[in-house]
Order: sequence, then structure tokens, then C-alpha cells
Amino acid sequence: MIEFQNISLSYENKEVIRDLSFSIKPGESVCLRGSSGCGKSSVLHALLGFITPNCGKIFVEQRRLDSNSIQHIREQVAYLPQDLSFPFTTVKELIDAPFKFKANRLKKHSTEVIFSTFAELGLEANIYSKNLNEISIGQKQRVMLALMKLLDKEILLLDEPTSALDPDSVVLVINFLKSLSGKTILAVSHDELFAQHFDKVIHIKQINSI
Amino acid sequence: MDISYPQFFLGFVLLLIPVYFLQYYKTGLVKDTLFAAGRMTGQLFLIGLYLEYLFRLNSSLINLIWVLVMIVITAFTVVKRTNLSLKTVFLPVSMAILLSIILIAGFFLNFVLQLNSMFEARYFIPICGMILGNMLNACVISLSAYYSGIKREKTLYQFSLGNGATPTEAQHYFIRDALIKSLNPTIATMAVMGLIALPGTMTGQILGGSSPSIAIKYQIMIMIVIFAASVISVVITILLSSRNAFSKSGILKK
Repeated sequence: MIEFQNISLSYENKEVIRDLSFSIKPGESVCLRGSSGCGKSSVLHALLGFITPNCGKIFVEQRRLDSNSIQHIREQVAYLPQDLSFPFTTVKELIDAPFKFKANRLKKHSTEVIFSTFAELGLEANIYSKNLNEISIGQKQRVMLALMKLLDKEILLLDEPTSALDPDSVVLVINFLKSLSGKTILAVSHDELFAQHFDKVIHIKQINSI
Repeated sequence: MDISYPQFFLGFVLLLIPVYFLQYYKTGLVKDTLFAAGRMTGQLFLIGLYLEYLFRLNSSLINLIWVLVMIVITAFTVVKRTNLSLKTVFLPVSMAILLSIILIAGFFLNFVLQLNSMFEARYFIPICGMILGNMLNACVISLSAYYSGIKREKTLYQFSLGNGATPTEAQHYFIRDALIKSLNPTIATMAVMGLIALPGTMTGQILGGSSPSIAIKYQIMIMIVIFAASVISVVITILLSSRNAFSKSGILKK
């Protein structure tokens, strides 16, 4: 259960979210929609402890989010950021990176499992050994989505996961996310086709209260 | 062989050549060059007089205080050259340098040179001075690389935290990068030493009358001491400054 209670957030000293409240049940999928710069990504950043709310409370599995609980919460989460410009050379390095952390070390997968997850998203196995600058942004987004599944966390936070995908690939991603039954998903998206497949859609205006 | 003052001033005649070219190409550097050369001469003469006095006095306590003052000056210089806050950097750099000096200079002077007292002025002060000068550069490069790296690669840092990394794990990549950037120049210098250039310590000792074989041994030891001290000071500086620079949630404070 994720719960936002009367949250206000600022980004670069400007208030972007005011008095936002919502809750997400375990296994539920929720999509945050709204115009650019309205603070959708800030909601994910607040949930990950990257920004501290001006006021209000955030709860994850009945634990209040603060500096003492944040590490435990981050360990329950797989996070796909909007900006995918990583300083890694190959796709393999990108996939391997989170499995070096203590929280994920025991979840490392064989290449067979990685390749079959790639296939679910229409990616060929040979992409694994390619350089990141050889693949498109759309392919990178699908690689990241595969990584989200491989990390096998209870909560998935996805920031614009389909922004560079064509409609066919968006459908692939929708089916892929539906196959992850039992996972709690909070996504940020501009994509209407993508958003309509979520259990709940929350519209965020420039300064919003739900 | 000593250099007499007439010979010494004759050496300054060489400066006329760069001054001519700097003036000819209107670089605007003539005034700066003359000022820098004058300042260097003044500073080194003053230090020379002071060191002569320190060496004659040879008091462990005064030598120790002298090195502590040098450590404080080094830490202030790091703060100034990295543009980081005094609160974030000053204490960590001071502690890191002090610890490196105790460990590395202590080991070298006590166990390698096997001096009766490691605080003997003619060894303690020049060795610490050489280590400090190199640690200063290593700390400036590493701290700049570390903090600018975390700001530049914010996506990677947040991606790591958001996927279960502890702040220490998320900072690992940036510490590695800072180590590479700060130590590469020393490694490169070590690799070509003796081939491309004769290093300062060795040249100084040979000019001062030591045999080349003794000078070489000192030079090799000095390079190892400098390298070990630089690595230790860089790692400790980054780890200690991170405690001030990041919030408990691992977010870089502004």
C-alpha cells in the first residue's frame, strides 16, 4: 500500500504539487498524467526520497517515509527514470549494474532468463552485447523495462517508460506489464493509449489537489 | 657546490629570453611573469631562512607544529581551489592529510629510513612537504571530479538509489572515477620517470653532492610514499566529506 497524504512538493524552489492525496493498493496499477512540468516526476522522486515534501506524509506498507525508512523502501522498488543517459558502455553493463548492490545480489539471472525477458518486449538476444550508443532510445526503454522485471521487486516506478516507443511497441509494453501480476505499478506517462490500461489514472494539474 | 650571489643573479638573465617573446607577441604576461618570479624568489628565500633556523633548532615539537600549520594551509587551499564549502571539506581534508602523514611518513621515516626520531627536521619537514604538495593536487582533482560527477551523472546516482543501492554503493562509481582522474597523472609520471625527465628530488640531491645511486633510491622511495599518501588522502577525504555533503537519505545537499 502506497499512500500520499496532503503532499506539497517543490522543484527548484518552485511549488509544483500542492495538497496531493492518493493511495495505491498492493497489486494495483496507477498512472499519473498531466502537462509537462506539472510535477509528475516529482511525485516519484518524493516516493524515492530524492526530494523532501514541504508538508504532508507518505506511507509505504504502513511505514512512514523518512530518512530512517527510506533505504528499506528503496529496496522494495524498481525504478525506471525518464532520462536514460547512463555512462555505461554496453547493454550488459546497464543490466548488470543494479545486481551489484547488496539488495539485489541474490537475484542475478542467467543469460537465458534475460534473453527470454528481452523477447517478451520484442528485443533480440544480441542486443545484450551491443554498445548503448548502437541502440535506439526506444530499445533502451524496453531494455530498462526488462530490467525492471528482472529485479523482481514488489513496486515498480516507471517515469515515461513509453515516450520513445511506436504504438506497436506500446502494446507490447502494456501486455508485458499486465503479465507482471501482483506488482504495484506507479507510472508517469503522457501516452493516452498506455494510460488507459491502468487500474487508475490520476490527473495532475499545474498546482493540484485530488 | 654553492651558488654565489653574483652567479645567482646571472641565472636571472635567462628570464630575458621568455620576457622578450612574451612582449613580442603582446601576451600581456610580462608583468605577471616578473611578479611571479620575484614572488617565488622572495618566498623561497624566506622559507630557506626559516628552514635553516628550524634545522638548527631541530625541536620535535616545533617541527610537528610546522607540519600541522602546513596541513591547515593545504586544507584551506583545497577548499579555495575546489569551490566547495568550508564546512564540507575543511575538516575531512585536514583529517585525511593528517592520517596519511601519520601512516605513510611515519612508516617511511621510522621503518624505512630507521631514524632515531622521525621528527628530525632535515627528513621530517621536506618529506612531509613533498607529500603535502602532492596530496593537495590529488585532493583538489578528486573532490572536483567526485562532486561534479554526482551532479553531472545525477540520473545514474538516482537510478542506483532508486533500485536499492545504499548511498555508499551509489557513490562507489563516482569514487572510482575520482580516484582514476586524480591518480592518473602520478601513475603516468612514475611510468616515464628517468626516461623522459630526471625528477626533482634526484636532480636536487645529485646537484647537492649525493651519489646518483643514493639519489635514485630516495627518488623511488619518494614516489612510492607520494603515491600511497595520495591514494589514502583521496579515499579518506571523499568518504569523510560525503558524511557532511549528503543527507541521511543519500541526497547531495545544495
